[in-house]
Amino acid sequence: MSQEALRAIIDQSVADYGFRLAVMWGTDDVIAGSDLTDDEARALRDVVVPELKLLPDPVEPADHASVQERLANLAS
Amino acid sequence: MAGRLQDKVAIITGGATGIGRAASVLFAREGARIVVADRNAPEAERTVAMVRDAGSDACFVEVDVSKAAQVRAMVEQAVERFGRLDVLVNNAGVMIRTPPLAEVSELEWDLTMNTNLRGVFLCTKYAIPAMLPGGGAIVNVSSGAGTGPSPTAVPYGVSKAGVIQLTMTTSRQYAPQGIRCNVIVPGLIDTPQSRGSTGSTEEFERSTARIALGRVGTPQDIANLMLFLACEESSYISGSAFNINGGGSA
Repeated sequence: MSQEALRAIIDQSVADYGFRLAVMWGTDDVIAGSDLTDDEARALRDVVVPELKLLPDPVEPADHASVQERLANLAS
Repeated sequence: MAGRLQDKVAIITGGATGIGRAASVLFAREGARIVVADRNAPEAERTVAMVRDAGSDACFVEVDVSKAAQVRAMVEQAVERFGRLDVLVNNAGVMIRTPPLAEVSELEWDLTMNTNLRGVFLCTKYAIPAMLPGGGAIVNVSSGAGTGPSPTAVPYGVSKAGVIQLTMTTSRQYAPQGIRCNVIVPGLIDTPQSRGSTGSTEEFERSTARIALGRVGTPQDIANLMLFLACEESSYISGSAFNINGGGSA
């Protein structure tokens, strides 16, 4: 269940710049409002967020799936 | 010649990029000292450097506008550093695209409302006492999405409608004490947030093509209006909302 929650956060962060901003600069609030295990919260903070900061603005729709997959693999 | 904000002190939330950065630099050119308030430290520090290049002074305060303790500290730092507070620009905001209302998550709702509406409430609440000795000006930022249905960003539209209401109430309660409060209602503006939130470069360009004046708004367009509402030239204006949208979209 919670693995799905982390994947959902990654997917939305890639596809929606506004949500990405909220995750990048309000990570604690996102974790508090999500169903993540401690390990997944750590992965979000330490692995996913630094990667999000490197993404282009916006990530073009044609690139969503590959970027989402790459970040999910890094986080797992 | 004295600038239009000579010797004034302004807090600009969301000052790290886009409209907030443009306003910071413009206000500085007009003589204001700037508190650049944001969560994005690297970009905020760049704005501070730009303000200094413009010939004024600035400091960066890292703040999440939804956190009361941080907002209170931001106002305290502004007064401690520069001795006064004259202008607050409530510019920090986030736009999260959402599905239809029944599918909007509580997380999407809370993240949006906390920054866009609670943030304006907290910044205003803590800035007012610091402004009361000499009066001041508060400039809020709403959105065209706050004046009608907002089907692709439900919490965003609701939060921006709330900002308009909060503006009117703030003005009614504090204009008698010399604090004016107005709200800007932008249409599509070329900022990182707008480009990102539109979803694709192609969609952003399609939206731009629909604007009556034939171009997308710039951060400078909004900053120019912010300056007018912050300075004495607008001394008889309070509680008002200003559309700035290139004539609207067809």
